[in-house]
Amino acid sequence: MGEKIDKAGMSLINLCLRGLIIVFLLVFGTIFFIRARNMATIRSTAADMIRYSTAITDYITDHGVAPTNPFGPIHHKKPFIRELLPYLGMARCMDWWRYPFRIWTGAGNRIYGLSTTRDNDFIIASFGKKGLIDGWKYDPGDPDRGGFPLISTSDFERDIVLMNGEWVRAPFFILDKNRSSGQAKNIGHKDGDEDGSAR
Amino acid sequence: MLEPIKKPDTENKRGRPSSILFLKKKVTGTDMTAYLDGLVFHPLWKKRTFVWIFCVLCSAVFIVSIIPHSADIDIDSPSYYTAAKGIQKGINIYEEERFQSLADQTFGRSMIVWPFIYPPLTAQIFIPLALLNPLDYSRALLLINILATFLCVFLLADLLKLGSHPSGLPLLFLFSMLLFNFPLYRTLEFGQLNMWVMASVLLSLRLDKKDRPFLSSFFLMLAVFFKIFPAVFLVFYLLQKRFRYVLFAVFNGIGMLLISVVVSGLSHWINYVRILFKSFILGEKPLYFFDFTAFLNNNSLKAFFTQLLQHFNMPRSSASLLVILFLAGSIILVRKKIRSFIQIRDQNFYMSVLITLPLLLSSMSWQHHFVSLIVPFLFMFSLIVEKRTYSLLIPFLMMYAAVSYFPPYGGFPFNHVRLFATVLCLPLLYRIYFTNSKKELRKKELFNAV
Repeated sequence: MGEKIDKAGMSLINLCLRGLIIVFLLVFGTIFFIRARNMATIRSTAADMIRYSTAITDYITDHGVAPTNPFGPIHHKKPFIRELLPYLGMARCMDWWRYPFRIWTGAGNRIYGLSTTRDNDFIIASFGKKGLIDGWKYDPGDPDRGGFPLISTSDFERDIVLMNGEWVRAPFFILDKNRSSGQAKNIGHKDGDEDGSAR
Repeated sequence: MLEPIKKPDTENKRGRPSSILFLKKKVTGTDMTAYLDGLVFHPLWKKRTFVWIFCVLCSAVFIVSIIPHSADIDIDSPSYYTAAKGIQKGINIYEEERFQSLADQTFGRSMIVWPFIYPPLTAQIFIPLALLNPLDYSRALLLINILATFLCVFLLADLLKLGSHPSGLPLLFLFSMLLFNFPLYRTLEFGQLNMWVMASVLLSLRLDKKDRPFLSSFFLMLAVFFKIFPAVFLVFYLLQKRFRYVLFAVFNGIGMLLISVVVSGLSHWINYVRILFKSFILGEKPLYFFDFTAFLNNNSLKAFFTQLLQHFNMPRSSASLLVILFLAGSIILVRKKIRSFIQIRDQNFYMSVLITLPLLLSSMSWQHHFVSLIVPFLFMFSLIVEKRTYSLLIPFLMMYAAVSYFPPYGGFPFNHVRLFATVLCLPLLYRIYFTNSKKELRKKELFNAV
């Protein structure tokens, strides 16, 4: 019995190597997991913004104007949500980073260097991972400037912005997806005010 | 003449084995278990001084990390405050517009006050606290919640007999569970009632253990009036044919209802039943309920399937069917085990299972609800240590980390990591509970050898 036990088991070298491999896999697994989670978060947020955009567009088709929300953050108490509910199908007021979506509707809004001049104009934004506006400004002379890569963790802190159903600022993979689906990238507001004071 | 004894090549000049050969030394499973045993059953974990210092330190860190939340009003507790005020003024607290109007008067229009969805008895219990101004009320509630947390710690240690456990680690693990435990912190920050409910349930179980069914059922019914999920214990006792206990519970429930009616009248209960009927039978849910299953921090099965269907742009109405299919499939898989589970008299085991089940059955499992998983996780850890089944420690720790420390955000399906861990918690609990301990296995081997 004792001889059998001596023959069984593994050497310490083997054990240490296996332990190192496990640690290596855990570390890299964690890094990939975090990256995958952040990518899923931004995808889910973008999908929700498109839902809101579609709902507002449908509302405009029926009513001629966008539902009222001039101040930005949305909440289930606001009449905006109740007006939009039949078109929305769900009322998720927070983005997937757990910060409220920002929606500005109607004329007279100035944000990100964009301005809404008509009653059926709207801007939808998510403030990214930290929930803070990042101060980006739209450049009508270079609309592609709105695209950004997702390389480091800080890239997930950037805002993503949709205006009148079209992406103004988003990661490249979202912009590329829209281009391939035939959606125009020019939002048509070349006289955008550069003031861009945030509300 | 004898030849000099040749020293073996395995030894260096001092006669010790070389380091390379040391690394080549075989390590068996028995060696590793023995090493871990030495760690787990180290006398330090039972030393009174060390235990006291550790527990006091954990408690201090816990309290210090929670205290900053006394500087502002909680997120959920204004709802109880407004409901208590509404009960006093005779307002229908279940009518959304009137409730919000009262909340706006009390807290201002900028404050978000969630609708009150609990029985009138809960609002009545908050009447004394609602005499304070909102900020003092919030602080008082935080203090009560902290005390309830420590009461739960004491009751858990008593129920699981951690003081007489062969190792001191489970007791230390219990106190370490207070630290940076996301569901627990959320409960306290939001001003939620989970710790009250858990304390009532644990008190009920402790009294049941002491063979005092009437008092035990009183605390169980109190917990049921706060949050419906402890009713699963009554269903279990009914299946165990503990009719006397269930009868006591019914008497206690009727007694609480009568006291509530005498204090504030029948109208609130009629309004409550009406809103339940409208929501669950007629399907006329107010906006607050409508989007619950779409919320990313709702970690229930229904929310998961709703979001899964939305993810694939399919109609969300099939979510309930998917939940039913999932539960039915799970029941079919474990149908043979259910009968044996009902016959189990080990209170710690069925307590752990019954506390976990409502998280899966409910359509609203907010992240702070998962604080109740402290009970099954502690039980699992104490079993792993007692039975020395260290191989199960890794999946256990992964699940515990997923529930307690996973951040609250995440795109679909990462926002449901807590739900996945909870689903896997039950088979792991079952596996740990029914795994033979190494001592029992050795006894069997010796018996067979003889």
